[in-house]
Amino acid sequence: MPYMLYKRHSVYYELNGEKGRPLIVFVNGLTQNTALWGMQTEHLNKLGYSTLTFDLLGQGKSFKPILDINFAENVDVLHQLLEEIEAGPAYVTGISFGGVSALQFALRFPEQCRGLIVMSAFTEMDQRLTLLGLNLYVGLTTVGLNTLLDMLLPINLSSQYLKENEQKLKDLRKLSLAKNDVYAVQNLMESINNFQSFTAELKNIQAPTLILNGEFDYLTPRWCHELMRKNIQNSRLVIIQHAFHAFTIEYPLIVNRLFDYFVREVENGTWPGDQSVWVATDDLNSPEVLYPCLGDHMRAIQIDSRAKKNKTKSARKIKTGRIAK
Amino acid sequence: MAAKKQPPPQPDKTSISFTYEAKMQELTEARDKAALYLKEHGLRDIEQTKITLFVQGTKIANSLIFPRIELQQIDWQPYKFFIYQMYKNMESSYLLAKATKWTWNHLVYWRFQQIAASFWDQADIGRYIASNWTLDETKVRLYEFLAFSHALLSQIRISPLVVDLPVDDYLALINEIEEDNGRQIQLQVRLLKDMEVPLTLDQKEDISLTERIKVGAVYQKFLKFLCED
Repeated sequence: MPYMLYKRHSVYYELNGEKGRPLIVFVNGLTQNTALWGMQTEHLNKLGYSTLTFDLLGQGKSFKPILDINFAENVDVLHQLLEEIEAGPAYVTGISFGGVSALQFALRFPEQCRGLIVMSAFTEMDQRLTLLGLNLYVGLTTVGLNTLLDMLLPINLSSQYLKENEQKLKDLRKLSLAKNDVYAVQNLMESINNFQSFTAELKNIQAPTLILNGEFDYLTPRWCHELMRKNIQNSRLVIIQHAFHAFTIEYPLIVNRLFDYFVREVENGTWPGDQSVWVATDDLNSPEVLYPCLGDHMRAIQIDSRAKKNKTKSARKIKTGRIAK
Repeated sequence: MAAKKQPPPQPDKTSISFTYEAKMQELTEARDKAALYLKEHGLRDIEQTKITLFVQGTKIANSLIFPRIELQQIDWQPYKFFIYQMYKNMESSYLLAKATKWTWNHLVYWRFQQIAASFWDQADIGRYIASNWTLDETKVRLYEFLAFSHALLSQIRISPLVVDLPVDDYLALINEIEEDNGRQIQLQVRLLKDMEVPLTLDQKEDISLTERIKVGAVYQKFLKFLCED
């Protein structure tokens, strides 16, 4: 099994695909490990891409520090790993916790970043995100890992998926409880205790960037991704229909299609990073991958333009016209 | 001229972290083997007896150290934690004793005595109970004990061995005990990180790894015992 030595600790990684092909690197979310990218890597390898997955310190088969995990070091680990496998600039993608690391990697090591795909991530924390994170942490430390996993499920996945995959998710939960080390998850969560906003630095990202956000992601909602869209010049924001936070699990084929589309566009020199907003098709047979997003992508409901112009008048009209009857 | 590429760093084979990772690899293999054994044989009275004796043994060894701590000058937070842990250990031991289907095979008990003896020996528990601690030693010794206790709770886990088995009262209790161990680990991690002790981060980590190597060796011995017919 391939391991890299980072400082005193071993880091597990899996490199697949032919050398010389565009390399896509996946950075794990908080409770993830390399195996959870299987639905992406298998498909992308078949399409001819190389893929690199690795466990962060504290995850899966990598060393689990007992005392301390430094969040900033995730980026150093990836930098060293890419050097050791002698990869050229790679497409770096990460989800949630890993999406933050992917962004920071693009800032610190731009020469190693050919393209960036950020999913369900954030560059600053508002009160809601802070409290949601704190609740997850308190759930882990005062009740246990089972509670953390239970709290994450409805955040990550839709009701339909939860219902259709009830048994599968129960088995996964059981396996996760057995295989995860609680102290390591705690250390990973505590590694972002001193998280500092880096929104102001986003303007320095030059790499072509695809920003993906679930339509109903309420852990890292639209505003988190809007900050990225507005500040990263060479970017596009794509909204994944019907999706919550963990759409790589729920809509793997849609996501794979977007990865393929993005890398091809960049490789062909046709990536139109114009900071526009798009909606990913939910039909895998559709010849189009994306559609322009019409209306206000920051709103959950689409407001009539007349109401926008004269809120009071319009509201009054509805009140008197409909409810009064 | 391009800078000469540095060769990838090589592990220091004499370091504690290198030894630790090698030992953990062995332990993972032993754990996988035991899980396979239990999948084939199930949790019969003989396996339940072995598991209970071992878990109780570790909890009792851990608890015997607490009266020793009572005599030391320690801060309020660690003191509170030790007392909480002592009572949790007692509770777990009593409940396990009641839930276990005990075997009539006396050889199991005889063999377990050998495992228990090697546990005390390999984990060097005597250093906490028998030795006189000087005031200067107290903080470092307490730190070592916390690391030992953390290793006991985080490494000695039965639930990863029985993932494929149906959950009965006995396994439900094992899961509950391990969940509670998880809660105790949270406090231990906090203390291991924050306790004021005259050690560098690397020294602290080396202590933690040393204790984990010791506890891991004992656990590995137990896993072999568990798979004996």
